[in-house]
Amino acid sequence: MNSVFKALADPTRRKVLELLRQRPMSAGELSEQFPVSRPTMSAHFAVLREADLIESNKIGTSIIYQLKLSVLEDALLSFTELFGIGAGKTQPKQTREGVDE
Amino acid sequence: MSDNPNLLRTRKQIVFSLKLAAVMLGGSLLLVLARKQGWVDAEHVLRANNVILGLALAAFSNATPKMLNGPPRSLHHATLAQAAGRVSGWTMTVAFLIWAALWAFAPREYATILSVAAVVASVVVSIGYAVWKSAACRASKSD
Repeated sequence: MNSVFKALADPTRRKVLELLRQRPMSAGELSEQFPVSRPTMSAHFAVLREADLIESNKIGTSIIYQLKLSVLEDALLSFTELFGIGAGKTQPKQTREGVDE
Repeated sequence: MSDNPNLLRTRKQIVFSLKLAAVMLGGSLLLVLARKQGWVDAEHVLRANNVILGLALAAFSNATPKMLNGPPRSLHHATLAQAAGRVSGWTMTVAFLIWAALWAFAPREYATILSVAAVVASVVVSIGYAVWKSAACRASKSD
């Protein structure tokens, strides 16, 4: 449970989980949503995988990430989002192109 | 013995299910023993049994979205499985919590009917959502 709290404490990782709630996505699609480098995103994915909150599967030539949340973890994610715990550390809506400019 | 992640996952799920079954059986045995000793009456045994059953099945339903994720065949399949798993997990968990709460606090005639109605409603919602989502996925795939 400690690894779950650690994973949910970071706003970027929470944003990744929120995006995956809509549908499973590839690592590239997810990385495009954040103004951080791909190695940093890979580290975030590793933390989420270690906490057993997401899983990766190979479909064709792409690695697809999908949610693996229990109902309690899902509720915990909504709860942390509702109260904005750790908010303001990143600007997830900014794109990579925006940062490069 | 083996590091196969699928095997480890399956073993974890079986152990979790066996623990829940042990809790339900152990609880029932203790209640029967308490009844034989005359510590509780038949009404309390029935209610406590149903509360234990509701909580154990809520715990199982809580974990089902994690259990259902097998390797998907396609992105559409992954999207459908994830959405259906989340909705069924939520509805079943809430339904069994309602079941437990009703058997704990409601008058018996209401608890008997409404607890079953809650579970039936959750099954209908889960199946209905899966069918609707499947049709929506198929429609978007054909576009």
